[in-house]
Order: sequence, then C-alpha cells, then structure tokens
Amino acid sequence: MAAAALDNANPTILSASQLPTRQKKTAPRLGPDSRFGDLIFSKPSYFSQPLSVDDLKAVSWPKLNSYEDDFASDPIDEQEIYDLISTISDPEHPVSLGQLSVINLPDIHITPSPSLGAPSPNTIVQVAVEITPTITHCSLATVIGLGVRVRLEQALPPNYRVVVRCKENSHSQDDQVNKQLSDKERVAAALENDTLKGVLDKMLETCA
Amino acid sequence: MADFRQLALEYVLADDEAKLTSLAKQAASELQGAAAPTNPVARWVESVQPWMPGSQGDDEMADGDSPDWTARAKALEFLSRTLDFLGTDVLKPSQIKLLVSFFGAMFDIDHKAGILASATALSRISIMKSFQPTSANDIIQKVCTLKDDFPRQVAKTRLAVFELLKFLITSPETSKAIQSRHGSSASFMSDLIRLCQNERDPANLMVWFEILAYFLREYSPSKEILEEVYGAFKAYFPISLPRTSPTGITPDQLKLSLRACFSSNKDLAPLTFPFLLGKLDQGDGVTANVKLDVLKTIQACIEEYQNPHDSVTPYFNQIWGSLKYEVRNGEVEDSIWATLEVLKAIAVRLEGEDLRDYALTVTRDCVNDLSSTLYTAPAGRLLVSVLSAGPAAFVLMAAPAVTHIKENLRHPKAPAHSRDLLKLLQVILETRIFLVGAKMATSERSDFSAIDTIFKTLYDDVFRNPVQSGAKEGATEDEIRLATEAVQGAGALVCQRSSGSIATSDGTVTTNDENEKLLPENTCSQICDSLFSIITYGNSASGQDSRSKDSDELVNSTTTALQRAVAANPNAFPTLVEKAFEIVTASPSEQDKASSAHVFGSLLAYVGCSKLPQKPAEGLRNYLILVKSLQVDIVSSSNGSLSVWGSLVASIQSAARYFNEAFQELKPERSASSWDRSWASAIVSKYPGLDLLDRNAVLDGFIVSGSLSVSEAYADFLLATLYIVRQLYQKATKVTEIAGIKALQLDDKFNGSEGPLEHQYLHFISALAGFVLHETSEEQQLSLKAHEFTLNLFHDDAISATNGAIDEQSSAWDWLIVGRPNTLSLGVLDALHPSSVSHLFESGIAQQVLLRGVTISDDSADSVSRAVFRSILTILSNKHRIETVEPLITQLNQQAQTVLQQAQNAADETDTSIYTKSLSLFAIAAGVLRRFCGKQIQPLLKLLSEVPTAGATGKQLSQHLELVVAPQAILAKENFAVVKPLWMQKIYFQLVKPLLEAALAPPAADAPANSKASINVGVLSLIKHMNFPIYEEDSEKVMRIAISTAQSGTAGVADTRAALEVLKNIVVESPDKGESHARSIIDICVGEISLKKTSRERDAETGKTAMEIMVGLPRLFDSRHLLPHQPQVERELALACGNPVRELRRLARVARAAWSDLK
Repeated sequence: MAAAALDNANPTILSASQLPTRQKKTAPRLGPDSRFGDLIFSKPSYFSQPLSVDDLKAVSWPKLNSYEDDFASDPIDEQEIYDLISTISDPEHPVSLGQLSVINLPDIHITPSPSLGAPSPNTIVQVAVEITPTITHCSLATVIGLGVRVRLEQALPPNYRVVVRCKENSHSQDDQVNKQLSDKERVAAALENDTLKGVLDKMLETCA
Repeated sequence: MADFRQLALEYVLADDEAKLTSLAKQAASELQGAAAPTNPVARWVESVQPWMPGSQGDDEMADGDSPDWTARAKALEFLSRTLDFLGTDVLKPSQIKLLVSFFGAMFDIDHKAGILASATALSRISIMKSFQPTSANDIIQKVCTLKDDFPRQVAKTRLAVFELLKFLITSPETSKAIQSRHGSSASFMSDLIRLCQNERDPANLMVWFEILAYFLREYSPSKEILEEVYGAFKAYFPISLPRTSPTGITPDQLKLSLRACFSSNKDLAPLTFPFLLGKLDQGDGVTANVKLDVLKTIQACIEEYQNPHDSVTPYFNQIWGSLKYEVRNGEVEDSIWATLEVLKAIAVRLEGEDLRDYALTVTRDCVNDLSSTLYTAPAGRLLVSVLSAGPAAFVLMAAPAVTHIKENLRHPKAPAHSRDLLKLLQVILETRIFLVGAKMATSERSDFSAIDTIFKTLYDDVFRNPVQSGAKEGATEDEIRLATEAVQGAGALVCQRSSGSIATSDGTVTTNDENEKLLPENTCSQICDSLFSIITYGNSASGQDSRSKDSDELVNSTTTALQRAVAANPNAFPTLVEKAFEIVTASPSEQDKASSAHVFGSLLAYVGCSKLPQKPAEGLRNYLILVKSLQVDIVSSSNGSLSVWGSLVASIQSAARYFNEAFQELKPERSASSWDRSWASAIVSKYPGLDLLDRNAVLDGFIVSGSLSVSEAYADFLLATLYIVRQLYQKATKVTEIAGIKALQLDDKFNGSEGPLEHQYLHFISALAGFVLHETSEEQQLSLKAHEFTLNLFHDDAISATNGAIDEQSSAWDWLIVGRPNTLSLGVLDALHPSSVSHLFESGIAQQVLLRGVTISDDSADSVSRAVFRSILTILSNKHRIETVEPLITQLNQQAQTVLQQAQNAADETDTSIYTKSLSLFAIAAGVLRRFCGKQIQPLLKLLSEVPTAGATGKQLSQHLELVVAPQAILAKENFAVVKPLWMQKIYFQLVKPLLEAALAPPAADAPANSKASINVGVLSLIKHMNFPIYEEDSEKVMRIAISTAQSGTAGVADTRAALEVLKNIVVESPDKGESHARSIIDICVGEISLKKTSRERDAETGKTAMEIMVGLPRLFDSRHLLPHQPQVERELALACGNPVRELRRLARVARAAWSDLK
C-alpha cells in the first residue's frame, strides 16, 4: 500500500474521547478534597474474608459511590462488539476503524437482542455489522470487511454467526463487496493467501 | 653499597608488576639509606647509562639495528618509579636541579622512550620539599621543545605531560614564580598552545581546558595572549563525544569543562558573546543539543563575569535581540527553558540604570505581543523570566505588564487569549508572593510598595466577572475554562501580603506585620464568597446535570484556591461553615442531606484544615468550629438518618486527617507532660466551646486568645478531637445494669432498623477514635490511661476498668465480648501501643476477656460482633506476651485440648459451639504466632494441626485455618502490632510441614473417611497466604495436594478456589514443576471454565483464576506439553468466549489467542 496510492489521503479522524465507551456514568470528581474519601469509606477488615467467616453478604457495606461489580452477569452487547472491532487498524492509515468512523455503534445489530439476557450456548445469535468506507470508491472495503469478520470469529463463541456488509449507499459497488464478504468459500480462499493474511495480521495487531 | 646497575638491569628484564614495584622500592630505600659521600643519587642516575643514547649512540646504530626503545623506556621508568617511593625530603636542592635538567633534557633528546617516564618523574619531583618554584618555568620550556613530537606521543603519555603542566601552572608557589617571571605577556602560554593545539583525547582535553581556564582566571594575561588562548579553546566549541568513547568521561563533563574556559575571564566578553550568538543565529544548522550548549555557555558567562557593567551591559541588547525569538517562536521546550534562564541571569546580574534599560527593552518588546493570541503565552514567559529575577526587576516591569494585560483583557481576541492573559497575571501574582518575603534594602522596599496599588484593584478590574461566570447556570465551555484560570488568579491575589516596611538599624528591612494583607478585608471575603459559590453551584442539582471534565477541573481549582484564601485569611472560614450548613440543612430528603453533608464536609475539611495558617491558634479555631459544628449536627438530630450521621462523622475524620497532616509537615513534639486522667475537664476548660449544643453558638464559640506554638496547638488538637470522640461514643452508647453489674449497650437508635448503616456509623466513630489515639505517642497513651477507653468506652464515671478477678465464668464483660458495642472497643484497642495493652492484663480484665472468649458458646451475637470479637482476641494476644501470663496460658491450653476432644467426638456438624470456640482459638493463634512459637503454646499448635482430622467438624474447621496466617490490617506494624521476621517460615515448619506429611502418608486404618480431604483443605488454606519461596522445596507435594483437591468431587467452591490459587502461584514461580502435571492442570481449569456447570456451581472468582492459568500456560510451559491438548482447549475457550461474565470473556479471548499461536 504505497503512500502514493492512498484511496483517501485525508480522512476525518475522531479523537479517543469522541468514541463511544461503556462508561456511561462519569466517574465521581476526584479533587484535592477527596483524598481521604476512599480510606475513610473503605470496608473494615472484619467485614471481609477471612476474618468474617460467616456469611456477611447479607450485611452489605454501604458504598459512597456505587461502582459496577466485576463479576456481574452481562450478555455480549453491541458495545462489546464495537470494542472488539473498532480497535482494528486501518490498512491505509495508522488509526483505528473506530476513529475513522468505518465502524459505528448504531450499525451493529445483535439478534436476539442482548437486552433479553444472556443467551444459552445452544441459541444461535446473529451479529450483523455494517461498515462505512470513508469514501465510496474505497478499494479496501473488502479487506476491512474481511478483517472485521476474522476478528469476530476469533473472539466470539461458536454459536454466534457473523454477517459483515457495507452500509447501504456507502460504497459505489456495495452489492459486489457484500457478495464477496458473504461467500464463505471466497473468504476461506482469501485467508489462504499469504499476502492478504499478512495485511490482516497487521490490521489485527492493535486489537487487545 | 648497593648496586644500582644491577637493580636497573633486573627492572628492565622483569615483567611482573609486583617485582617491578619491589625493585623500585628497593632502589628508593637504598637511596635513602646510603651515606652521602658515596654520592648515591649520581650512581642511581648513572645506572641507566647502558640504555641511554650516546653510550652506543642512536646515530651509530643507523647502519644496524634500531636502539631498543622498550628497554630504554623501561630503564627510565625505573628512575621515575623509584622517585614514587622516595620521601619528599630526601633529595637536596642541587640534586633536584640535576634531576630536573636530566629529565628535562629527555623532552628534547628522547621523544621516543623518555617522555612518559620524565613527565611522571618531574611531577613527582615538583612536589618535593627542595624543589625550587623557579624551576617550573624551565620545565615548561623543556616540555615545549617537544614541538611536533608531542602529538606523536600516545594519549597516556600526553596525559602525564598535561598533568605535569597543570600542576606547575595551577599550584600556588609555582604559578607565582611563573607569573613574576613572565608578567602579563605570558609568552610561555603561546608555546604551550602551539604544542597542544591538536589535542583530541577527551581525558587530555579535560586537563588542558582546566589549565586554560585557570590561566585566564588567575594570570591576568595581556590582550594578545588572551585572544590567543581564546582561539585555542574556541576551536573546540561546540564539543561532543562519540557515545562509544572508552574513557570514563561523559559529554556533559567535557562541555562543562570547556564552558569554564568561556566564562573564566570578563575580558573575553567582546569575543565570547558575538561568537556564541553567531552560533545560535546559524539557524537550522544548529541541532537542539548544540543550541542548549550555547545557551548554557552564555548563561555561565553572564553569571561568572565580574563587573557586569563592563562585561554584560554592552551585550544585553544583542543577546536579547537574538534570544527573544527562541522563546517567541521556539518549539523545543528544553531550549526555551535554557533561553529563559539566560534572560533571567542578565536581570540578576545587572543593577541600577543598566537594569532599567534592560527591563525597558524587554517590556517594550513583549507588551506588544500581549495583544496577539498566538504570542501572548511566549511573551508572558519572557516577561516573567525577567521580572522574577529580583525585587528591582519586578518593580520596573510589573506595573506596565499588568496594565497591558488589563488592557488586552478588555478586548480579547479569542477565549484562549483571555486564558493566557489570566494565567500570566496569576504567575506575576505568584512571583510577588515569592518576592515580598525576600530581604530588601529600605529604598528597594519603598519602591516595591509603590506599585502595590496596581494589585489592589485587580479583583474588581479583572477577576470578578470571569470568576462569577463560573457559578452561572448554563455557562459555556469557554466561560468555564476561563473561570478555571480566573479562580487560580483570585486565589493568588487573596494571599498577597502588603509590602509595607519598617527600616531597622542595620539597614535591612523587615515587613511590619507578616499578616498584613494587601487587599482590604471586605474584598477578601468577597473573593472567598465568589469562590465558594462556584463550588456550591458545581455540587447543586443543575451543576451536576451539566457536569463535564472542564467543570470538574473548575471545582477542583476553585477548591485549591479557596484553601489558599482561607489559609491567608483564617477569619473567612466561619462564614463558609455557616453557608455550607445552610445548604446541608436545606436538603429536601435525608439521602440528599447525606450526600451534601459528605460533599461539603470533606470540602470544608480540606479548605479549612489542610494548611496551617501563620498563627496555629487560628487554624485550630477553624478546625474546632468545623468538627464541633459537624458533631452538634449529629447530637441535635436524634431522629436523623444514620446515613447523614455517617457522612457527618466521616467529615470529622476527614478534617482530623487533613489537620494532622498539616501539622506533620512542621514536625510537632508529642509531649505528655500536661496529660493525665482528667484530660477531658482540662480541655473543656481551655475550650469551653466543646460543650456547646447549638450550632450557631459554635461559630462564635471558639475565640483565639494568645498565641500557641505548633506543638501546643497539636496537643490541643489531639485532645479536643478525643473529646469529640468521647461525646460521640457517649451518644452512641448507654449505661444499663445487667444482674446488678453495670454494663454498656448501644443507644436505642441502633435497634437494627437501619441495618448496615448502623455498622457503618459505629465503624466510623471507632475509626475516628483509632485515628486520634494512633497519633498520640506511647507516653501520651499511658498518661491518658487510654487502655481504659477500651473497656469503658469513655463512660469513665459509670464503668470501672480496674476490677477483674480471673474467672472465666464471669459474664461481667460479656457486653464487650459478644455485644454490639465491641466495634467501638476495637477501634481504641487497634491504636494502642503494646505498653498500654499490658495495663489491661495488669487489671486482669484482658485475661478474663480472652478466657471468656474461648469458652463462651453464646450464639445470640450477630455475625459482625463475632468477627469484631475475634479481632479483639487477636490484638490482645499479639500486643501482650500472653505466653508468660499464668494461669491464663495454662487455661487457654486446657481449653484448646478440650475443644479438640469435643471436635473429635462430635457426631455431626450441627454443634456450633465447637465451631465458635475453635475460631476464637484460631484468632488467638493468629496474634501469638506472629510473635512467638515456643513450647508454652504447643497445645494450641496441636489443636491447629489436628483439627482437620477431627471428626465431622474437621473439614469445616480446616477451611478456616487461614485465619491464622491471612494478612490483617490490625496485625500491621503501623498499628503497633508485634510481627517478628520469618514468623511465616516458622509456622510453615511447625504447622504446615506435619500436615503435609499427614496428607501424603497412607491413610491409617481407623481414620475417618474424609480426613484426607480435610487435611488437604487445611494445607491449601494455609499455603494460599504464603509466598512461594517459603514452600518451594515442597512445592511438588503441594501441587499434588492442590490437584487432588481440585479434582475431588467433594471439594467446595472455597476449596477449589484455594487449590487453583496455589496452583497458579506454583505454575508461575516454577513452571518446570507444573509441566509434568500439565494434563491434570488443564483438565481442572477446563472444568472450571466450562459452561456446562450449573450456575450455582460456578464461581466467577474461581473461574477467573482458572482462566488466568489458561492465559499463562502457553507462555510458561514448553509447547510439547500443551500441543496434545490444544484442540480440546481451543474448543472450550471458544465456548468460554460466550461466558456470561464480561471479565471472563475478556480473559477467554486472550487465552484463545495465546493457545491458537501455539506451535
């Protein structure tokens, strides 16, 4: 991908703070006046294991600022899919697909909806991702689509089916691109291609 | 008579360093010992004759072999080495003269072999007593005869020559002789420069530069020679060093050394400044490093040159003209800083008219830039760098700068422009705070106070509007950010002190009143009010709705500014307290009230107590007003919610912690001299306000009378806080009578209706008590009889803490043992020094508590009280040597045996009394074993080691063995617990090792069915808390136990978790031990993360540990151990990516990627 052949040499880039995140509630203000807050409000040692051998869960400790429980049950939602794929690097620019708005949170759809609770491992769940190339003639739309697909297949359990498409009217040849992306054999063949594999690996390097 | 020839020959032939040294030493002692008539020195010098030119003659050998240079060099080295071992007073002047001419001649005739030896020998000779300083000049002349042969010498030889020259030129006697000989013409220097001009070795250059710098500084050379020397070192600038240079010299040392040459003599100024500035003006050709070097060199010249009027003044215009663009348009922060340092250095050096000219130039150039958004910040940096140089520069520049800032603020070009201007104004104000405290002469002081007026109106002119917009509803982002700058400026403004002066007899001036403020009282309180209203708005409902990162920063900056304002104007604080309480009281619901009490409580704590004002008494008054107001609010709202009470008491603790920290910076003394049992009445008579019950009265209830030293104020702070604690304790408890004995119980308020909030409130006040007592010294605790608070909870009139016959059946202290007030007792006990705890044993009450604790089987106590009580037992047994207390220890041991028997005989798990008693004994063991492991407590250890095999209750009890070793805050050294080094290792040998053996031995015929499993659980629950090195040698066995526990179908969730934690630890610390068990480990982990388990069996924490092991295995184990399991693991991990818990899904993805990369 020589610099001279860039499809879109000057794309719009969002800053990290403009990207959607899971932190809906802003963290409490931590100023100079809250230095001892955590210390004073921390749970006394006799309230937690191993000192409290009895079941003290019933006597919960009132918290100053409620925070999310790490171990709460939480189904895979659109934001999680977004977090998985928005960090993929663009093949042309050293920025992520999220920053280029190629991946957008509203364009990710999960059926059945995660709001119904965590699906059982035997339920087939469909994840549909619509990508928006930065320009309508982007020649790399298929590569990006392939990257998204590979990333999701590596990161989701087997009962999740992944569909990647170009967003309607976002690409001059979106039907062609969609056709390629949904053709399993072509996808499999593409992954056999060493050059393409190299490009994909480079794109996925930045995924945590 | 010694044969020097023989010695010389041996020396020439020898190779061994030790041998060489001994030969030289021998020669030296012969020289010293030989009789004068035998003329030893002559014989010694002649001993090298066979190797000298002339004996065979270099020229005569032209036809045949070349002379043996090596041998000749060695022979000369023999002479110089001998001198090293010769006393400095042995040689006579005539002999020295002979030697000087002998070695000096070598420079001329023997440049191939004689230089190193001669230079070293001459260095040695020149420190000898009979050395004539006048010979120094001869030596230098001789050295100069080397001419072109000098550069041909190896670096080491040249270094010896340089060292010789340096000594001759810089040592006082010789330098005097040289100067009187040459005068200012110093022609020898020209020769030396010619000799050394091509030197490139870093080590040699260091010495050479040193010589040049010394020469320029001390020799008062003529203009011609000055220029010649300048030419010699200038050629090296800018100097650098290859990174791989083998010498130990760093580029910085070399640069410093060359810099010293530039700054050595003020007469160089006409040469250095144009040259250095010329280097800078080369533009892009100068790298950042070189630029930095140039700037630092200019700075060194400015700082070092004497008589700045002659040396610096003529050039400051040129320097300024060149350097201002460095800051104005520069991008590299390092060079900008270096430039500012240069400009400041000029202002520091100049005086009078010169300074005025310089300041005017700088001001004129900079103030124009203040009208441009782009250049305001750099212009500000330039202005500040110069005006901060000293009071005189400040006086000259502050007024025009402030006027222009004000002018530009009226017509700002952009929001960023206003922000930069406000920031600049703030920095000028900070500079003034710094300078006003400096020592000034009378005239300077009066000049300084002449410009005070420009600051007096700043608030109204500049800060008021932007500050007020910070508290405005619907303020834009720009307004908020502007307000953030403005509050900091206002904070700096309100701290300004007046510079009014009184001249003292010695001419120096001190400020007349340290506390006299620049601003009038009402402006100060206006500023405080405006700042406070920003915080109020930020925490109001509408402020919270529009919260953003910027508004948070505004509130934080305002808080800091307000803290400064209050520290400078302590009298403004009571009003703030009053306002804050009005807001808290006006809260619509109890929940809102609790949260605003928390917000404003900790705010006031920080603002009023985190910095001690000039008069400690004023700070103490503010602290007392705050904490007393908070406490009165608790006392007066008997029906109030405990969540509000909790917030209020947490704020008291916050204030106490901030105030304590403010004191610690000043290192107060902790004296117990006036502390005694009647502390409460003493502190109340000193501060009657402590007994007030009305909040409005509290605001005026503490009057500052007289002054207090820091230590006195600190002592009063501790006692007053303790008094507040006493009031809170008394409010929370009441005295009752149980079976004719007085006892304490919680107030009716704590009837269980508010659930966990009750526990939290009790914890808060007990933590406050603990905090205050923790800050008192051991001596102070003893004087207060602080141990009694543990028992009477500050009801000293009702409960006597002295009686205590040892009687385990007595229930006199049961309210303390199993009653809910024990939380309050724990807070005090936790903060006591061991010496205070010992007093509890003297009265016998501690024994009673301990014994009652291990015998009581009362299950009426709630689970929190039981946990608290176990902590009390742990502290008592740790802070006092209970193994020495008879008959306590005997009875404890008996009880341990009884409990063990009962456990062994127990038919089922329903007997909770065994359980309760055992845990009490475990808690005591936790305290003792950190300190002592001796034979007095063997029965207790036996209980611990045999409890796992004890019948039906064994397994349950062995899970809780971890109580003995688990880390606990109450057993931390900060809380005065006694923790011996290696205690954990001792426990491992005394307790874990036997258990480990039992676990791996074949089961006895009569052993209960489950005994193996419960021993395993016991081992794991102990080892879980130990570091790997402790059980490293047995890690193989431990691993087997962990695997078998995790694999057994009967293991509970906690057991499996313990097993996995231990496994993880071993696998990480010593992967090779785990490799042979790869299959089992993988099976266990896969089993834990499998979604096939029902959700009831699944434990997220265990799953997390299992997943962490899976993540680590591909990295830790050799892949051949893992490859056979790869397909199965990958399948399971793919499924685990759908785990309902997000954190586990994340780990599963990481593990999946790690396993798929396995090759």
